[in-house]
Amino acid sequence: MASTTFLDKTLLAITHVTEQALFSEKFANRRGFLQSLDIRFQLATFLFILVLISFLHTPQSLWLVYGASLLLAFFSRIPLRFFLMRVWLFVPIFTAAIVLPAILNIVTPGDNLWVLVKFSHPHTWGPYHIPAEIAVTQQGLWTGVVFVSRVAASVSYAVLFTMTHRWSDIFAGLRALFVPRVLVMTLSMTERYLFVFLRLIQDMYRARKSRTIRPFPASIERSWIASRIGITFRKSVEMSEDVYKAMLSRGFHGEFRSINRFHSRFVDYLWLATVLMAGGILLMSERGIVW
Amino acid sequence: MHIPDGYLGPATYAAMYAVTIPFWAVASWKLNRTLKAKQAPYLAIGAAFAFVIMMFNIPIIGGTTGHATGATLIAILLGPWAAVIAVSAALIIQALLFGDGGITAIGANCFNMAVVGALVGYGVYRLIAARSEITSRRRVAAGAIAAYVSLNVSALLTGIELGLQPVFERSTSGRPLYAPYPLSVAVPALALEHLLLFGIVEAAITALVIRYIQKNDPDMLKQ
Repeated sequence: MASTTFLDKTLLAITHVTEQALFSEKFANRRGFLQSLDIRFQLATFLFILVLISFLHTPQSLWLVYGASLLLAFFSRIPLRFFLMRVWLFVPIFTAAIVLPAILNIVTPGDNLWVLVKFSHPHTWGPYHIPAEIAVTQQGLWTGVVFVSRVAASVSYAVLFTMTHRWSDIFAGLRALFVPRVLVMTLSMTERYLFVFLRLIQDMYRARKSRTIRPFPASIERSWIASRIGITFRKSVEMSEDVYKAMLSRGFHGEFRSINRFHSRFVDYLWLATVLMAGGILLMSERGIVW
Repeated sequence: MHIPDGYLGPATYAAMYAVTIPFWAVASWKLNRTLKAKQAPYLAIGAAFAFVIMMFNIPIIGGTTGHATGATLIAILLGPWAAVIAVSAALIIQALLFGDGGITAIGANCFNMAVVGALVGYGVYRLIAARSEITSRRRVAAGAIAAYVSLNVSALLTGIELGLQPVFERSTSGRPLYAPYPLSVAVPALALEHLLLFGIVEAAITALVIRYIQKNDPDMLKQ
């Protein structure tokens, strides 16, 4: 017999997506610093920061950029504890866990800091070499710290960005980055229909859970899930036909127009100039071009 | 398999964008010829389907569950080029709105899962299914094999991209700056779990959905 864990996990995954959407809407409506900026400027500067993070080489620079994200979160009226939890849970912690073997001399040879295990002699199997002493190396530790810092800084800005703007505005802002209009429209329509499908699946799973007294064998459960995927696909094809007809009846003739009107202010240009200058100075000082 | 931000260096993620953009362009051009104005709602709903397919957890062994990525299944149902755009849109939304996969890694993730996932999956499916009856068992087997092969090719590419980081993206003192594991570790780590577990889950879900559609709505398999 299979357990009903798969029902709970699917319902939990749906709840998680809905919860993220609700939180983003909640924080995007607050009167904070990032929320007040024009989405086009914010999108451009956040992409610049993500690229900048990927170019930085030292932990100090990465921590500086990470620290700036905490300040931005504070001035954007996002509770710090909530922000830290959203950032650190999963990706950086997962990264820290997988990077652990890389701090050892098995992966990153170098100057030993702490010897953890001693063998009588080294072992070699094809490309894999186990030295006589397994130790944390200075170079390995540095690599691990840089890697986790980079991932944490990147995730911080990605989370900050999605939390301070409504999702529909983010897609509209993509137009400013010369993303084709048809792709922007497809993305924003996807976001809307995603929630229609989530509701559909949630209803199917809740109905199934409410009438489950004891689980069926796993093979029957798998067939049931396959039938739900098939039904969801059939409904999605029907829905695309209906949506297209509804669009035609409202005068759609293949031209996509955005109803979003953007208004840039002095503060947006100031923000853009500050980020570009600060990023440029940080990168140049790290590479020894200035100072 | 979603690569987060910070795992790939600038040279790799820029190269992956450069490789993926022509596939997006070809897919858009092909779809524009066939779908025209209908394109946006069709692809949007296809992308929403690509997103939710990953939510269906299926029981594997002893209470554990897994889910499919669905690239091959979507390619069989919507056609390969529509699948490239639909799965890419789902991956872009996952990266931009849910932090699932990095923004700098969108090019790499879309290439591995949407382009390779859909095109390899569809190619293997057509090769094995050939001109067999829509309701034949051969089509079910073709879907399963195609899903297994395409997921493993995607995983292999992901492993290679990650494994190349310590080779190409190093500091001036020679230390790795991004994903630190060499090819000899990254490739087996990703390949083994997909060969032994996730590939089988992907194949099983694809086969079961094809069988369900054969019984209930075979016209949907006429792509």
